[in-house]
Amino acid sequence: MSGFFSQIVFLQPMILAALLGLPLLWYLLRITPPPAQKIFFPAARLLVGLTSDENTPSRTPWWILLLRMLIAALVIIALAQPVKNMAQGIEGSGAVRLVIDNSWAGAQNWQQQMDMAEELATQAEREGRDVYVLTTTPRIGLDDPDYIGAVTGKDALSFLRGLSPQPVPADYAAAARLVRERPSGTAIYSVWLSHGLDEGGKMGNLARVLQNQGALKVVLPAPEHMPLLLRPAKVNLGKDKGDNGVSVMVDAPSNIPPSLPVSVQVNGENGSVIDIQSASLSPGNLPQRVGFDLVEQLKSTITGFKVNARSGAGAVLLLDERYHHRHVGIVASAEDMEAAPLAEASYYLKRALEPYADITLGSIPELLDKNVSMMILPDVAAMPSDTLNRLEQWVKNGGLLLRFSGPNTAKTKDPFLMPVSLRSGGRSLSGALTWEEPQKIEPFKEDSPFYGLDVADDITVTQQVLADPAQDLEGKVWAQLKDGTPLITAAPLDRGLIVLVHTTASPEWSNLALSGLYVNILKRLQAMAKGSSVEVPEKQNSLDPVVVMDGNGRLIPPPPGVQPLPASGAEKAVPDSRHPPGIYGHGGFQYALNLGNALPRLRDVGSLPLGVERGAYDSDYEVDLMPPLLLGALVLLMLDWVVMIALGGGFRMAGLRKAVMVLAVAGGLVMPTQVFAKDLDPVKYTQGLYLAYIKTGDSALDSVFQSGLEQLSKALARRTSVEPAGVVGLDPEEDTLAFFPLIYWGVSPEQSKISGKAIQNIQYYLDHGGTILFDTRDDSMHAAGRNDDTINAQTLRHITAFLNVPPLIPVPKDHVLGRSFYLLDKFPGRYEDGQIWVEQNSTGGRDGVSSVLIGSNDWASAWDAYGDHSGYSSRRQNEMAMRFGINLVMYALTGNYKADQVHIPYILERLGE
Amino acid sequence: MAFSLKNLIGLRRGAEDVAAALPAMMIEAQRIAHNIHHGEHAQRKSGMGEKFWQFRDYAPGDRPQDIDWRQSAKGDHIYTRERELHSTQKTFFWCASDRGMSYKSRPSLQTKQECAQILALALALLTVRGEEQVGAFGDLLTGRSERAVQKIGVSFLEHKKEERLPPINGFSLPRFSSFVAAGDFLSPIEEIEERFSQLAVSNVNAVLIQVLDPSEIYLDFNGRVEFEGMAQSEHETIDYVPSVRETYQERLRAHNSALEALCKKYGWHYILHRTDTDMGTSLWTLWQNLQSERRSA
Repeated sequence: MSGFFSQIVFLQPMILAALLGLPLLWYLLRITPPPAQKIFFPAARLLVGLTSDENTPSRTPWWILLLRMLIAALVIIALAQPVKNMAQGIEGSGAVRLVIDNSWAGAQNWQQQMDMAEELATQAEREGRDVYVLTTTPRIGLDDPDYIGAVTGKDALSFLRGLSPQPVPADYAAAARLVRERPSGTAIYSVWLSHGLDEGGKMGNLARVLQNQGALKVVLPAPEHMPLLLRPAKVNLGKDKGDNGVSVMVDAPSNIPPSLPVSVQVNGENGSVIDIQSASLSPGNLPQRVGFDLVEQLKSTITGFKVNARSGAGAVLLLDERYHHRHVGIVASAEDMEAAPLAEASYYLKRALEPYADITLGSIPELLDKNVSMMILPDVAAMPSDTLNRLEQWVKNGGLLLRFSGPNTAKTKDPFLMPVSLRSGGRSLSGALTWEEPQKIEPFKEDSPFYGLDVADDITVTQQVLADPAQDLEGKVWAQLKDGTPLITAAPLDRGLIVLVHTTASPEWSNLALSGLYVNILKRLQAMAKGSSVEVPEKQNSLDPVVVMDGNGRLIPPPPGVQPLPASGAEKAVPDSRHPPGIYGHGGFQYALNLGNALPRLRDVGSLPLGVERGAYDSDYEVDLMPPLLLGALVLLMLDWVVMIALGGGFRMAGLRKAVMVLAVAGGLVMPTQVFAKDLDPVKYTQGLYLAYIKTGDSALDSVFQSGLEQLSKALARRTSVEPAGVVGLDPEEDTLAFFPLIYWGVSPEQSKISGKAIQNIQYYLDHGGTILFDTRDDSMHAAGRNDDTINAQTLRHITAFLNVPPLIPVPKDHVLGRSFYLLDKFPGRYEDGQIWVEQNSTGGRDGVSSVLIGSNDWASAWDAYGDHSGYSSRRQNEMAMRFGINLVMYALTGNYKADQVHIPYILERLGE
Repeated sequence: MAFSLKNLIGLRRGAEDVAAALPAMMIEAQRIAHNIHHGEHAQRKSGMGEKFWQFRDYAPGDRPQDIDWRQSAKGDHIYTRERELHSTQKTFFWCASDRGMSYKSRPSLQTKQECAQILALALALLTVRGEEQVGAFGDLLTGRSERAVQKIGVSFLEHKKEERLPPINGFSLPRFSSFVAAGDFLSPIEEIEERFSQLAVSNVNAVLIQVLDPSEIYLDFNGRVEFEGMAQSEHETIDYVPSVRETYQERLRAHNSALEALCKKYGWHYILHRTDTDMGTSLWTLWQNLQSERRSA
């Protein structure tokens, strides 16, 4: 307890003198009795002259006095501004420079950096010292880091609060240049709030530059808080045959504590978590592989990995389609297939693998050129030596070579690129001259990658090639026959793997090729192969950003300033401020740019130049005790008030109600205000029909929409039984859309930066019965021909690209939209002839109402013009536009109710018969 | 007195208030009167015409024009149609309207005035159904229809000067009429006595409905209360209410028994209604009282 109080410092100790006034307050309170309850009472006459012998304490009871003294004391103490763990003074007396490591690694101890930076800035403000703030990483889209100063501590604070970590590596060289460019006359005391990594080996240089202008202190995170980096796993087929291909490497600088626990999650689509695996990192064994055991279906939905409890771009690894796609080459000539397909091994292989991989047939050199990740050689034994060399190199680089046997293999003598050496001649198990039975397959052992596959009883092998018994044979066998002879053997070659199936890929030697096991074995093998490398579509020389990561590792639409990635160097590209990590691509092709692919080995800070002070982040940050004290005083005040009500004549209903109300109001004040911030008032909007439009952010345009819809409301109220209660402008990101049956969306170019949250909101609205009329307002869908390239049409495409919009068709001739109130052929707005697009088949449960209507006739302007008769467009057209508006609202409200009337002529005709 | 615009507006507003409040009051009065009607008088209404009483054989001395020829033609006798004896009694209703009457101790209760008015109107309705004339105190015009009851309601609702006790100047009750007075009768017993003695001059049958709020009966306040009465002199601050509760209830009982004794002296009926109790019960007692009085009369 005394420890707690010793940490408290009063910033305004003079105010504490007011505590001396408390006894006086005691005296004053003591002589004022609690107020009597005043009641009008018709029978008061009968009370006249009565005195109560036993009386209500007319003096305040001591415990109420104590309560009030406590309140007064709390307020006085609060006003004296007590502060716990007051920050130490900053060394020196000149300006202070804060160096913020806001790179990807900084994201992982960002809170620590910010807490300390804010404390330093506050302290600098108190001491009246100038503050410089230098960041080490340029913001996305900029070339240089930020360097501000000299500013006051307060300004520095507001700058700091605006900072966020960046998803890219730090640029210490640029930071050093910025510092050098602005020499300072006086010494600047620098505090470098480091994330603990020496990025690019330039840390020492920057430290020296900072030191030239004054003392430098480097604050380092604790070893267990050192940044972690996810790297893609290097495929090593030989070593990890069991990991099924889903693994990732966690990298860390070497000064982490031994056995640092870390857990990595596999993310699926829409951010779902598929699996979480833990591992422990040790300084000697980095990077650490984390493997995941996933079923095939889940594997295809993986979108990335993330280190749990770490934020920032380094803790996230995105996957692109390379990860899922296996490019399998089958060595065969195209002619073979055509001649007698059922006799050819390639036919069976192709049929088995087709659903799971891209398959190319061709000769070995052709397939090597195509850069396949797995190659199948069905009974190919001899090949030219240069081809053999290339093939060997390919395997050593991580290729998976799958060989099947057959007559050619049985004859061959050279054991090149075989997992085991073979006895020549092979073995026939059933035939005219043998007395052996065809052999069945033994169930797979636990260490086999095929473990778990069902071996059907009717699969027999009649002929096989035999491995030479050797000492290491045992470890190479993945599958064997009942008599113990190997059926599938495998051996790694550098990073690659060679697998040999000791029988044919066709049904020639065994009916394996006709079984489901064949397919399953091939499937597992292809999953082991590493992903194909980037194959940039030809003609494409750059990849556009699709989504990029922000500093916290979240995917966002590319902010301005992000540039396309040059296709040629994509695989070696290092993310920088122009190319943050994320997904880049064009058309169907996507390439994931990750920090983990490109960054060199992580280095800890190591040794710093002489004279640099080292510090550590500490957790005892300054706490201002004034707000909690004032809150306490307020609570006690209310308690006092409730007590006064209780004393002043019992809990009368009215009093109690008031008390509850005051408590509720006070509660509202205490609660964070953003809870109520912008939410629409559901009571209001469910009481009546509100027409709604999406705000564009352009106030002139918004006012046109507003008054246009108001005119429409008036017309609706005048002509129909629909009486809209008002018009609302909506922000799709913040507002609940669900209250509005119809939303008018006039597209404007500002909306191209629509956020993911807004998209989700809109999608939810559309999926749950809402209707949106998109209006590009530029006649881009003129009936005579679409002119899609207007900026609004592009914006609309940009918006709808993220939405699940069902297939649309031009509105058919007898669509309900033309019947719901007025009979209309055309739907004119400010433009007359534009086409409207509606859903082809409205989803069930929507009563035939299309969720999306798209047009370009600028209806809002026409509705707006309806109100003022000076109009530039014709009265008749405005009237027709208004009629369309009425039809539209009726359509959204009544659905296909009027659709029946479309058929009235036929019904009448039938009745007539 | 010049009519100022303000007066006119006030009058008009008052009328509107009355118009708005009257139906609710009438409905409430009818609701509680309805039950009683069914309990006691249902058989009384059976029969034929309103005025018809009985057929009687023609006797010498009867007026020939009283002979019911239609009935006589059915048989050998000659019948005369005898009408019911027409000795209607007039009943006048008065309701206190001072500030104290608008008191209620809890929001859920009705004010004393509302209770008194509804009770009086319900009684008027029952009276009208009994073929008797009713009228508001101060208005000689009586009627035998529901409209007359409505007129009473209007006179209750009109903003008039505060009346704690029935006024005696300007209007005197017709002799042998009935008089129903509803109020809290909390004025000093001397004042009440004086007023009643003047009313008793007309030899009326009167029913006194004393309407009191439960808080007035039990003084169920707590703590320190400053009571504000009808007059400046009636202010009293009680430091601790429970300590005087006994004494107060004693005083009220004394006042009420004096009131009851006063009524007994003139042969009037007295009933105490508490605003948190069922009005139907009180009305039943009232009706019984009026009936017995009529039967005895």
